[in-house]
Amino acid sequence: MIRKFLNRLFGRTDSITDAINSYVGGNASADETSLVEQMMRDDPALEKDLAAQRAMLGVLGKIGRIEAPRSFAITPEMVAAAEGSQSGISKFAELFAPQRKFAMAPAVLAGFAALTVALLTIGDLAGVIEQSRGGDSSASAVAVESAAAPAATPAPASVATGGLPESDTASTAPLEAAGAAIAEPETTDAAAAPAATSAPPAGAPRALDSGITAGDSSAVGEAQDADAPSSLAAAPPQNLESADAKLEIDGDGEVAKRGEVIPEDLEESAAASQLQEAAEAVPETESIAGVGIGADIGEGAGEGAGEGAAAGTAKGAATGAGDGIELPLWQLQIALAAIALAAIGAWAGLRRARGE
Amino acid sequence: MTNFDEQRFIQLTRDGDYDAFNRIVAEYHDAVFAVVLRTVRNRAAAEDITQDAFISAFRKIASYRGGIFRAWLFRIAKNASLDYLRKLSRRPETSMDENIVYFSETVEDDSADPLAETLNAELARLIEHCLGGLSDDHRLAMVMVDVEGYQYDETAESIGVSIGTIKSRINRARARMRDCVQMQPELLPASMRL
Repeated sequence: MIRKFLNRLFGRTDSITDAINSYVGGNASADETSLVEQMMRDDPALEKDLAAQRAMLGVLGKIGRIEAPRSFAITPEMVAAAEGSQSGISKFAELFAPQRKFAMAPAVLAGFAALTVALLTIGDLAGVIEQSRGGDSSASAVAVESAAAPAATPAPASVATGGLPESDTASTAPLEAAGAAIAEPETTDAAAAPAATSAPPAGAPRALDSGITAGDSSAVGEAQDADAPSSLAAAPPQNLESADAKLEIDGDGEVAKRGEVIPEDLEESAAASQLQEAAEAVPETESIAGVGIGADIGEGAGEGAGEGAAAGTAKGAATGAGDGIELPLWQLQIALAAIALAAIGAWAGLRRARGE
Repeated sequence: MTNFDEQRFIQLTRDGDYDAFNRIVAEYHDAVFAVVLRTVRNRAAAEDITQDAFISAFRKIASYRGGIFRAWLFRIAKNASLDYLRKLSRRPETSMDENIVYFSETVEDDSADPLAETLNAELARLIEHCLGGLSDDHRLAMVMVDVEGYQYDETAESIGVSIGTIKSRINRARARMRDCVQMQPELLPASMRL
């Protein structure tokens, strides 16, 4: 049964069908003839059936020959008229005509988009895929919180790999930054995550080059002097690093002063302004942020996640540890649904253009 | 046929030579028209489709990449025929039955018996009726192989499917034809009766 189905699916015929076809058509080989004769011995009704088919073919072959009723010679005028009558749209539509190569393209596209929407929805309901930014407010908050913890952790990773001195201060700085970011308004947090996320490769070398250390008061001065960050890859990490180095969060999430040179309000305002600037410059794409960072920075991620949890974002920490994939789900669903609808519309339009 | 240098005419057609292409048309118009007519079963439509197929072939001659040229022509005609049938099926106000043309006047028979001639004419009508009852794909395969006598490979190339698919379609088409003609056994010769 399955074999028969597969043969039909792939247009294959089995040897018995071939043998019967050849026998009825009168061009069977010796093997095919013996096979069919054996079958006819086993099933006498088959013999009569095949004989009737052979006779029918004989009649079919004798159906009167058809001759063209007129000449079908073409002229340049005919060709010109045919080319003139075919608009660009109809030419394009012809590419998708039923017997052509791309006939199924719109249907396949629509089906793929619809299937993806369905899978995303199922994944969302099953918890495999989590909503990230751009969803409803609660979902958005989840994504932001989850991103905040690992967001600042690239700083320690870069500092550590860069071999900066004052490791005590430097290693605590990112965790402090994470806490600071969480303590900030939501918009700032949201920015801090991707800003620092994309920063490590460029941010670390820059920090090293400029000789910034966690305890260096001049770093804050640089941060203060710095204009709005021109790009996420360069400015935010440097500024965050230097500014965050001056801040420390205690267990309750309060900001403590550490710098002696820079006044308290200036430090805070510097950090806040840097984060705010970063928030404004960050694009709204942070898919899989928590997962990616967690993987990149290894231990740092765990610390960041732990700090985030300590700051009261247990859910964010869990996500940062790698549970599920964050996607801007409803935007994707809407976009794919729009693609499906567009493909269906195109299919209908192409049919109309072909005059069907 | 012996003077017909197909490849040379194809090359000349590629250079825009209408006369050369019309030699090709003259060579194949009977075959193309027969297949188209037996597929669409409407004489006027078959003429239009055949004419359009040749015009289309002239315009697309550059896309011919070798192989059996007649099969390439058949494929263009087949696409046009199936397009026509598809459009027709979407316009229910146009009934296929009203446009059936019984183009086979009779089944060729050497006997001069007037009764046999009448019976053969009736048999021809029955066969045409049963052919019309097949699906488009099955009818096209059967017309090309069993009526027009083309080989499986050329038919497969013309229709654009594998040889296995053609064999399978032929097999099913024959079975359905057999069932159909058995419904009027009085018209059948003794050898065709079950």
